[in-house]
Amino acid sequence: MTLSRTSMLRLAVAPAALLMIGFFFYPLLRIAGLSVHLPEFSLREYTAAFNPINVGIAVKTFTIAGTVTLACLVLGYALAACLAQTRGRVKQVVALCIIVPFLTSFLVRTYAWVVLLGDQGALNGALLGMGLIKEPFELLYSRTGMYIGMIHVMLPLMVLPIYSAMQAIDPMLWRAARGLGGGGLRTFLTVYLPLTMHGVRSGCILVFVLSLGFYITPAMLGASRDVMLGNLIATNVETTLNFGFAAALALVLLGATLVIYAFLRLVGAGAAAPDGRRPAFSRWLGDRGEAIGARLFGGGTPAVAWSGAGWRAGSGRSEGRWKGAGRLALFSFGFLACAYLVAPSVVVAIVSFNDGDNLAFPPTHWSLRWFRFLLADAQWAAAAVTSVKIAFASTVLTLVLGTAAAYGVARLNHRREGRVIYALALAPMVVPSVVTALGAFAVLSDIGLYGTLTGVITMHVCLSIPLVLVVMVASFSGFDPRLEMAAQSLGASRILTFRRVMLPILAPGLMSAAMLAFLHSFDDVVMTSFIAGTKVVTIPLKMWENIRNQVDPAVAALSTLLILLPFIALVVRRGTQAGDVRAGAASTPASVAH
Amino acid sequence: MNIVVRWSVIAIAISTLAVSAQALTVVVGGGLQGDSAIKAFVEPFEKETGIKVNVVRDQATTASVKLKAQSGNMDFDVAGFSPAGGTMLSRSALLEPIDYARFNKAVIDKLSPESRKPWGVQFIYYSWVLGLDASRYPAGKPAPASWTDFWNVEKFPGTRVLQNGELGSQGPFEEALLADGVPMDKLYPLDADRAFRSLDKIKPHIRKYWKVGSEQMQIFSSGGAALGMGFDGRFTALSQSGKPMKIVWNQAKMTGLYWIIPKGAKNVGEAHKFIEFTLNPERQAAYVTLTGYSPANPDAFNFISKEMADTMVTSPQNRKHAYMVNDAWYSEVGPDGKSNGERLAQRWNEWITK
Repeated sequence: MTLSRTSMLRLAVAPAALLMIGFFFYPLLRIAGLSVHLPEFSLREYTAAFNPINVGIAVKTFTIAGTVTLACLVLGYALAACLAQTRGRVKQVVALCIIVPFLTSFLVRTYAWVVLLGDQGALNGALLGMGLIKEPFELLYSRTGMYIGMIHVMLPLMVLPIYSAMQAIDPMLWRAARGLGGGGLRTFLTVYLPLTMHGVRSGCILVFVLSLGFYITPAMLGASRDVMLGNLIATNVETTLNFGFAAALALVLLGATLVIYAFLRLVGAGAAAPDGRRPAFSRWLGDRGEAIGARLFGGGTPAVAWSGAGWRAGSGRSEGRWKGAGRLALFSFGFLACAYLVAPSVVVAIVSFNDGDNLAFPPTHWSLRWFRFLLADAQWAAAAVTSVKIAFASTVLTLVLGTAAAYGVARLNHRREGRVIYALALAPMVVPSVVTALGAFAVLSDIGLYGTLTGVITMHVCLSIPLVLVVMVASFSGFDPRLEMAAQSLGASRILTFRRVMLPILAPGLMSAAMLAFLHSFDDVVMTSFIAGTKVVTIPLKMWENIRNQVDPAVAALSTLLILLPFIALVVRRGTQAGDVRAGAASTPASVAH
Repeated sequence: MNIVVRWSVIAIAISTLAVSAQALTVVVGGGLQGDSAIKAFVEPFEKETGIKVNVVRDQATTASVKLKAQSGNMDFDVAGFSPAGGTMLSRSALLEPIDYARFNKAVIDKLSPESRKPWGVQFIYYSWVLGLDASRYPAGKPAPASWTDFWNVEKFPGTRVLQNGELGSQGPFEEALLADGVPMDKLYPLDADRAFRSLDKIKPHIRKYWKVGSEQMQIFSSGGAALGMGFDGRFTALSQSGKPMKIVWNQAKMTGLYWIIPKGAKNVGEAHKFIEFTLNPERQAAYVTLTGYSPANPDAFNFISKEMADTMVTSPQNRKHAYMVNDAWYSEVGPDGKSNGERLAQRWNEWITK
C-alpha cells in the first residue's frame, strides 16, 4: 500500500462529493444566478426578500423550528433512553412504536391529526364524552395543533441518532462510575450525557434543519397566520413563477441556517470533540459557564455541583427506591410517548376500513372496499413497483457512498478540511426541496436524464447522502479509532478490519441510515414531482395527487399495508434467527433490505 | 457498479420506448376529475377517431409548463388550466395559440365569448359559493343568504371558513367587497384597500383559510365549520357522501377550466381535434354528470337531469345570480412589472401574518 492514510480518506469521500457537486452544488449555482438575474445582474430580488414582512416570516420560521427541536430533544432523549434501557419483547414494541409512524407517509399522518384534533375529532369527542370539558378545545388550526403534528413527524429523527450513540456506550462505564462513588445523576451528567452528546447534536441538526424547510404540516394543522418561509418559496416557484425571488429567499434561508449551524457547532464542539481540541469560542463560553457555576454552587464544575446538590436533596431516600421511581417515571413516559407516536397510524388503520368516500372516524360502515380497490388497481400496482425499485436502488447506492464518505469525514474531522466537507455535505438539508428540485430539473434536462428512473435515483441518492452522513459520522465518532489500529497491527487487512471489527459496532448506525435513506426516497414528493416527467409515477406522487384532489380512504388503506411491513419483517426474523435481537432498530424492514 | 449499469440500461430502454410511441398526451387531472375525463372524453375519443391517447392523471402546473417549454422537454399536448395560469403562461409566450378555424363552427359558436380565449378553450364552469352546514340551518329557520349575512356574526353565529388568498389570483376579495355593499357588477377594478378593511372586520371570526379543495371538504365533513366559502362541486359532493350542505347561489363567483396547448407540443392537430370532441353537448353532459361541474356548452343541459342541473352554476336559474371572475383585471401588469394578482398576494401575506 503506497497510499497514505489521508489520501485514502480523501478517496473515500470523493465519489459522494463528486455526485453532490454535479447534482446539488452546480444546480444551486444556477439558482444563485437566477436570483441576481444573470447576465444583467440586479439585486432587486434581495431588496424584496428583506422587506419587514418577509423578515417577520423568517423569524417566525426559525422560532418554530427551534421550539420543535427543543421539544424533540427533551422527548427524544428520554425515549431513546427508554429504548436503550429495555430488553427483549418490550424493546421490540418500543422500537416498533418509533418505526411505525415513520412508515406512514407524513401527508397521511398529518391528515390523521386533522381527524384526531378537530372540534368533533377523536380527542375532543373523548373529553366531551367523559364530561371533562364543556366546549371543545381549539386544537386544530392553532399553534398547539401545529406543534403536535410537527413534533410527531420529527421525533423519530431525533431518537435514532441519540439511540445509536447510547448503544455504543459500554455499560461497564456506568457501573465503574457508580463503583467509584458517583451518584445516579452525577454519573449521568458527567459520564453518560457527554458520551451521547454527538448523537444529540446530530439529532438536533437533523430536526432543526428539516423543520426549517418544512411547511406542508404547518399549513394543514396550524393557524393561517403562521406562514413558513418554505411556503413562501414554494408559492413563488409553483404558482407565481417568480423563480428569481424564490431563489433569493432560498439563499437567504440557507445563509441564516449556516450561521446558526456554525454557532451551534462552536457551542457544542467542546463536549463532542473526542480529542479535546475545543475551538476558542466554545472554550471561552465553557470557561465563563464554569466560572459562573463555581460561584453559584461553590466550587467544581456546574455538572458536579448540580449533581451534588441533587444528591444532598435526595439523601433522605434509599438509593434503591430512587432507582425504582426513576425507572418507573422513565417507563411511564415511554408508554405515553409511544401512544403519541402510534396514535395517528392507528387512526389511519381504522379509517382505511371505511365504507364511505371520506375519512370518517370512527367509520359508520365497515368494509374492505378500499383494500380491494387498491389491490385490483393496475396503476397503484405499477406505482408500487416503481417506488420500490427507486427506493431500493437509491438506498444501496446511498449507503455505499454515504458510509464511505462518513468514514472519511469522521477521521478527517480533526482537520479543517473534514469539518468543511461535513458542513457542505449537509447543505441539501437546508435548501428547501423546491429550490433544489428547480436546479435539478435544469441540469437533468441538459444531460437527458429528465423523466428517467436513473435521473430520479441519482437525485434521491444525492439528497439522502446527508442523512446517512449525519448518522454515520456520529457512529464513527463514537467509535474508538484505536480499535482499527489494534486490528491492523494484529495483521488484519483494511477490508477484514471493516468486516470483522467495524461493521458489528456500526450495525445499529447502519440500520438507522439505511432506514432513513429508504424512507427518504420512498416518501419524497417535491423533488420527484419536478424531475419524474409524466412516465415515472411513484406511490407518493399518486398519493399527493389523491390527497390534493379528494381525501379518500385509498391512501389510508395503502398506509395500513405499509404499517404491516415491520410486523411481517419481525415474524420473518423470528423464524430465521432464534438468537438475541441485538438492537431494536434491527427489527425493521430496512434491515431485511440490507 | 453492476446495478448502476443495469439500471441505466433499463432507464434508457424505457425512455426510448416512451418517445417512439407517438400518441396524443392529455393531462386530465387527478382523482375523480381524471377518472371522469377518461370515461367521458378519452375513451370515446379513441374509439371514434382511432387516435391513441396517453393519459396523465395529474394536474399540470404553471411552473412545470414553463420549465418544460423552456428546456424543450415538452411531454404533453393538452391540459386543463385555470384562467389565471393560462393567462400567465400566454403572456410569457409559452402556449400555442388556439386555431379557431380548425373547429366545427356549429359547436364552437355555442360557447359564450368568455370561453373562447386566444390561448385556450373553456370546457367547464365552476364557482365559489357560500355553503351552509344544513344540520345547523334547518328548513324554516333564518339562514344566511348573501356575503353581507356571512359578515353579520351577531345575527348568524357559528364557526366560519374562507379561502386562503396567498395566490393573489383567488381569494375572498370579491366576497369582502360584496359584504361591504359593492354591487356585483361594480366589483372590478377591485378596491383592494376597501377589501382588506372589510376582511379586518371578519378576521377574528375566521377559523381557517383553506388552501385546497380536499381541505375544504375535510373541514365541513368533520363538523369544523358551520358556514363558509367553498367550491360548489365540493359542497355537492359532501351532500352526496352523507354530510348535507346548503348552497347559497346568490353572489356565486364563477370561473372555469380551459384546455391549453403548450408551446412545443408534438401533436397540435390532434390536440385541436380532442378539444373539439370534448365540447360536443353529449360528451359535456357525460363529464359534468360525473364530476358535478357545469358545462361550457349550454346545449349540454338537454342531456342533464333537472336535479343535476340545480346543482350547477350555469343552469339558467342559478346563472342569473352569479358573476364571472375578471381574469383580465387580475393579470393586468402595472408599471412596477407586477400584476394585480401578485400585488394582492403580497398584501395578503402582510395582512395574514399581522
